[in-house]
Amino acid sequence: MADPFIDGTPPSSFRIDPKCFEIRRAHFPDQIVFHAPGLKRYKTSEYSGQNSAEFVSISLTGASCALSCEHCKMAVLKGMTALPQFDGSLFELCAALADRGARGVLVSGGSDKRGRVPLLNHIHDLIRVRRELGMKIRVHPGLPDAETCRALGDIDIDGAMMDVIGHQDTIREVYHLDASPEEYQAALALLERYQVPTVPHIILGLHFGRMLGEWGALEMIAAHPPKLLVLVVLMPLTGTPMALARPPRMDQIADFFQLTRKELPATPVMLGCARPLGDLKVAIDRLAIDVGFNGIAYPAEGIVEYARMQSLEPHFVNACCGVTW
Amino acid sequence: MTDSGNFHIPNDRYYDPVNHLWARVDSATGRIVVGLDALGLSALGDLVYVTLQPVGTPVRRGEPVGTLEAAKMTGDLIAPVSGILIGRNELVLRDPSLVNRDPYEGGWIASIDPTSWPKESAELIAGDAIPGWVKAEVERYQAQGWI
Repeated sequence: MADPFIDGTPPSSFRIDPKCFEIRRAHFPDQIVFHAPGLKRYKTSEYSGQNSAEFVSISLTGASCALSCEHCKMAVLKGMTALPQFDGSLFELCAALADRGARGVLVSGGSDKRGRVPLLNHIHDLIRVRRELGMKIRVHPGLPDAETCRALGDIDIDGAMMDVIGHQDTIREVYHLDASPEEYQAALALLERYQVPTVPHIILGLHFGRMLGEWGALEMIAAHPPKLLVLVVLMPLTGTPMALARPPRMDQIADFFQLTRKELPATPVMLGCARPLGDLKVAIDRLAIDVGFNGIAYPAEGIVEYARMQSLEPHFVNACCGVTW
Repeated sequence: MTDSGNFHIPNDRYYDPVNHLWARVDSATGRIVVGLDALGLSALGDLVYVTLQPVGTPVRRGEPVGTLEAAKMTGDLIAPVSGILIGRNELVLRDPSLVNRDPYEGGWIASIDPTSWPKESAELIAGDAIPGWVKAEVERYQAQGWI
């Protein structure tokens, strides 16, 4: 196998500040949550309890997206349950999923040209899903406008999962979106105003593998304290223009993870679904534990035991980061 | 050869009906060569990591012979037949994407010296049963949202 430690940077060549784990110990119990939502089938020697029907990802637009971002090209949408292929409303789809054991949904989809996932067309259904079915609801709002933020405040959602981008070039060149970092900041402020719990995501290396807007994104998020923060790392996908992109180096990832822990000491920080796989995933997952993150989605083989070795008690949830039943 | 929903399923071999591994008898050695079929691969996405037990390890049908990690799944690689693991495709272990590129030839994964082939081959899908099985499996995978 090719050396996963890009540019010859082995995991031992960066320093981990012990203060990071001390911060964790000061603010959180000695527990770590491992998440396995239904987006991906998951089973390791340490966890075989995934029930992919328990938390289902729905795409409001099927596999369509007006932005067709460089890192995704709709690949992520293809693994979701497509509402357009269902003969009925979003509420009826969720009711059918509930009959099959679903306790929560991620309502996602492709974006329009302004970066908005078309949630507004389904607000009434989402209110019914929450009130009548009692489901936990996460949404991918894209870059939501004021009307969407206000409407989300009426639903009682568990969280709005928003990719926050901190550099103009990445917004234009990767997302093909005519927007600015200030508009992301404004959206975070609107969500805060309407008391919508936010679960912002930062994608390390989103600019074709380069770290560029990540620090700006972290600064914006820190100004609007989220319910929790999710960090992910660019996962080059076959069939996209980023298929051959190199993820950031381990030392860059380590620096940013540590900065995040220190900047948001009392905010749960999770390592989300997307990151390079194989040996590099093992190294990133261990790093997440070492710097005091609170949870990991789809942990690599051996990571549960590694967490135990750090005196962390593992818990498992078959849903998105931070969802609890 | 069966093409259902653009999934190429050759009819010169056997298929595990649940785990979508193929098993082909090597007529020269009597060993069973094992790989992943196109429908199973479609549900996995790009393979990025494969591990296998060491050569010489006894394996049992339906139990793990290794692990795999792919874009849409992390899980066990389940042995389609019982026997002794006798060969590992080192090219695949170094570059798992070979399985996606050439699943039925260069992307074979392991070979097994079978101990219960006459009995276990009857539990696999082969010949005229392939088209109906593929059709049903495509529907099952679509219902699960895997493809």
